[in-house]
Amino acid sequence: MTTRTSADDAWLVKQIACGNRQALSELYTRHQHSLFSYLLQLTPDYGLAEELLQDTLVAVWKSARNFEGRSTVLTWLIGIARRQAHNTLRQRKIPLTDISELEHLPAPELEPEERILANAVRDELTRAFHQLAPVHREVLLLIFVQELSYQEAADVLEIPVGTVKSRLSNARRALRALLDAKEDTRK
Amino acid sequence: MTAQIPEDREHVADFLPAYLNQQLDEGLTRWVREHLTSCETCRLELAGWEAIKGAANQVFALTPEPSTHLMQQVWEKIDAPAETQVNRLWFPFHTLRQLWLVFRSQIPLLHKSIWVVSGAVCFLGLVLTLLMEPQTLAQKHFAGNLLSLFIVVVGASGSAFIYGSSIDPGFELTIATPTPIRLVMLCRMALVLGYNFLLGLLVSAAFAGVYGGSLWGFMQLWLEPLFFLSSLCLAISLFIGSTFALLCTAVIEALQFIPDRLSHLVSLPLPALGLNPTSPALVIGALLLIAFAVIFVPRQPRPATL
Repeated sequence: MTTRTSADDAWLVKQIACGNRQALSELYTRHQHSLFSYLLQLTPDYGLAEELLQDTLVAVWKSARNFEGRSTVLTWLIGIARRQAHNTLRQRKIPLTDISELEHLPAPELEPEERILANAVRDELTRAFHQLAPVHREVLLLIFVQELSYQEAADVLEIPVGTVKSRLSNARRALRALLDAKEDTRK
Repeated sequence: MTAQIPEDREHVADFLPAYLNQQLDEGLTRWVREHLTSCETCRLELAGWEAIKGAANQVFALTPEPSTHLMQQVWEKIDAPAETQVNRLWFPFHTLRQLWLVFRSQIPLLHKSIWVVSGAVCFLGLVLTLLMEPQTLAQKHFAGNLLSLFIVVVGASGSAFIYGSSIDPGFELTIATPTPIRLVMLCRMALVLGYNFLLGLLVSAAFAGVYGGSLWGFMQLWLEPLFFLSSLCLAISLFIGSTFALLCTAVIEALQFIPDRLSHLVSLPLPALGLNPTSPALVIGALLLIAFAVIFVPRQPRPATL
């Protein structure tokens, strides 16, 4: 994200804090795709993801005056969306993946070949991506699509930077394992 | 991303995602690039990340758009009268459940050092008083007062770090959720105060067990001062800052303790602040301070930001 865009976003948030409805619509237009695709990684239910997006925007409207620019606007928005999602999913007793289990995935005895990722056909990789656990998809999306820094991703996920790194490499390992399993099936 | 180039590293794996996103500073980028020219393992690793980034972006590109009337529904939610929500909140069971959820969710959000430091300092206070091996009644009184000083200062210090943008990294997100910020603050206060009360109870029981005497009698030395100073610390930390609140606690406790016990060592005439630890005024003062913090302070900008 360019500095110009960040500054524009921050200005929009200031306008929202002053009660400018057009500014909220503008901010939504800019980030709707990022937010919606992020929410769809947390819940595959399209209707629920829309509801969460609505709640996120309501929260933005109510709390814009408290935004102090300690993070970028996108990081702030994703953080709010994540909290809304987790609160709602917990209240509705929709199971979330047990993160603690995923953090300590044992290293497989035989690591699938490293080059399996580099050589994978894009569509195969995309299919494998969909099969990943939500926490793994989430961290990959934050780092490689939203292009958040490790620190920003750590702020959004409310975990230490070290855990972001380990979750990222766990996600990579899980992808490799999925591709490797497919390879074995084909043989 | 700015970081020091590690000298003893064989590979650059940790830096590859940031390198791929062009988030490294110039020096690190050059270092990674140079390493890649000579390292097959890292080149392969980078190619893997490139493939993953490509797949992630493809997934992103294929995500459907939200419906076109979504914003209209947002305005309806914003403009809807808050009445129905309030009515629901008054329903006792729902309210209690909400309270419990908020209370529980604050535990991981509080700064972890509050738990560790409070426990460690209380334990240190206990060890110190045990090492003093008081024999006479006066010595036991002195040791008891010293231990209660530890309990009160530790408890009050914890309250200085429970809420506010300067000490809570998730502050902006906390205030962005629908949970009332006053409720969040009260839950945190109850958690920290409850924890410090338990710590005080434990060390008091240990002290009373070793030297005899009534546990309740000993608890009276610190119970109300703990409540009062914790509330004072919370109010000051919200209005001015956590460090200043900490300083105030230290000064108040020092004025309580030093002139009485160590006047023969300190030649300067120090003002004595004689708070009666069993005075009901302390409880009333504490309740007023909490009310002040809860009702007024979250609305006020901090003096530093004016």
